[in-house]
Amino acid sequence: MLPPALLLVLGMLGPVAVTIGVALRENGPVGAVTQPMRDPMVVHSIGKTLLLAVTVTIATWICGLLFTLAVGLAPRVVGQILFGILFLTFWISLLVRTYGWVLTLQPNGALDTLGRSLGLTDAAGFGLFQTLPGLLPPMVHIMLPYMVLPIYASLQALDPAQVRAARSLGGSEFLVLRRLVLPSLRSGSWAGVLLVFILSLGFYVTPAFLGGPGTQVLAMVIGVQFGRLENIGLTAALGALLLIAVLVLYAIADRIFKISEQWERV
Amino acid sequence: MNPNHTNRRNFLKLALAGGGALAVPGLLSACAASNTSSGGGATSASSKGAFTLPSDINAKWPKLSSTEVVLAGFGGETYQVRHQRVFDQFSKLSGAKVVDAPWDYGKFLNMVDSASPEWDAIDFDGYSTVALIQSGKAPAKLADWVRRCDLVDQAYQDYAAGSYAYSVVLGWSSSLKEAPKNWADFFDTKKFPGKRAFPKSIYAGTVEIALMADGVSKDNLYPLDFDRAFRKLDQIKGDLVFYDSYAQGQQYIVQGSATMVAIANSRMIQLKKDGKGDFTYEQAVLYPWGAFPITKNAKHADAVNALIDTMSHPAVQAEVARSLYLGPTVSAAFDLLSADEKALQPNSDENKAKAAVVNTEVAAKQDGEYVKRFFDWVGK
Repeated sequence: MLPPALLLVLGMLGPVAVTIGVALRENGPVGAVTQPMRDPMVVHSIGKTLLLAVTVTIATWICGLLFTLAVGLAPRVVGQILFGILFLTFWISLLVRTYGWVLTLQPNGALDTLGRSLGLTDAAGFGLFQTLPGLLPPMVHIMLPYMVLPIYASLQALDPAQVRAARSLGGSEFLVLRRLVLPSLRSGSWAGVLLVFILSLGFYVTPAFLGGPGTQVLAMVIGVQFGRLENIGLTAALGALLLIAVLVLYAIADRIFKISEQWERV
Repeated sequence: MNPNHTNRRNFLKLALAGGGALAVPGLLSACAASNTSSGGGATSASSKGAFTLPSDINAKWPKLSSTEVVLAGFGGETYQVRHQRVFDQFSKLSGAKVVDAPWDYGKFLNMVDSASPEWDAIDFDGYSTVALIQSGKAPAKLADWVRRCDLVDQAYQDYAAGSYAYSVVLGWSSSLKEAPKNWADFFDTKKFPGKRAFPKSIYAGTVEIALMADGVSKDNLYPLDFDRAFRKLDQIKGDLVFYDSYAQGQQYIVQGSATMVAIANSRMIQLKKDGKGDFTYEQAVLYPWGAFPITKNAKHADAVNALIDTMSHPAVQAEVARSLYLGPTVSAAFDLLSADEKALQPNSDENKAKAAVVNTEVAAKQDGEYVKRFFDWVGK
């Protein structure tokens, strides 16, 4: 047991400690927080990252909830197929999926061609590529499994007998959904929301591919500052900031929604 | 701020080659490009005729003891061709296997003066090499017996050999009714409709292009006026699509996502061969020479010097120019090229006269600000 634990400590906590150490050494404890904020490009990118993460999380939650309900309510076979399709995408490399979206969204790409043949758009196309609205569908698509999984776990925990009881006692479909099903999905929803939000904060590949000017998220700024500008101090500070933000967020959410208990069910 | 920043072409090619998180975008674009340029392009060009290293190539080599040489490059088609045409034969002759390492600018910077570097040399831009020297991180000098390249700026010939010239050209899709002539046309979206493809991973002649479009003469670009350039670039920002790798830039043209592109000359030559587009060397931003800087304490110093000596041979330079359209940095190599082959090179007399030649020394000094301003603009 010790060697794997040791490996985890060295391999995972080590770099984190180094990152935080460098952030403090290069900027000082106050500077580590204030220094990045002096660069308007960084502030702008933090704003974009938060906006994107919030939007993606809300959109994924809505889609995830609908999807999970569809899986739960559909005949068993259909539900299994839906579930299978969703997780099949897990086996396809993230890069391939993202590049598929590039080919779909790029000017004169698949979507524009389809839109033109249906008369929905003119020669100029939809113009979604490398814009914020264009970034949403791919990100929701990639995040969907992370949302569906915890919600589905909650749904599984719901006793069908309870639903039958509610119905036989005269509850309408809508009432049963509103008063019984949705409340029982609450903890799973929060777990999914938190997971998707955290993942969205650090999302790199998809925004790097599909993002254009104005969608420069924090992870991309870190990539550029580290890989090309050799700005180790700023990079370390931003990395530490992102990490601490995520940890704090998780701690608060766990306290309120008991998310760690939720994981045990998944 | 550290003056040695980066290096657009290198990054773009790195992205193409894959390796590391930064390489991710290009990896897939590379797949796309192999579709677009099947039939044309580097590999097919290289497959005609065999190439044998000249027999005098090792005339000045001392006895070599290394059994390998580690070279950080961009992999992909370019390096496949390099292996096929040159490296494999070099290995037979020298007994040193050429090991590819995935290109990484920051990693090399840390390695260049370290006690035990992982790599022996890296495929680098001229101005990046000069920036290294300016910042006091000079790479190792080439051994006395290594051939020097006469088209490299005199002051740097002891550091830079075996490399190549390339340019960023104005290319366009064959779907355009009228051919654009210069960068001013690239910025004229009324006369020439459609999107323009531009690199976003790192600059590639970006500021030079904008200045020329704004009316600055191609011979008066340096030192670069960033304020003026980025003001000009803001004008067409809405009409740009950005690419992460040259391969993706090619793909935009093939797909019709963009009607014009600013891209490496070799990529447009491929597209032209495939009948997908055309390009001009007029106002091309010419990077006149590059280098394979050697780490100070290179483990295989003898073999890496021999490799650079090989790559600096006029016959090898000519073969690389023929198969990869990477311009020779040895004038004798031009004599070995046919008129048609010469006409394709970014730095033939004729094409050089049309081009805006990058002032390597000034470019090295301005690189830090260039990179910073470029990413601020892309992210805005």
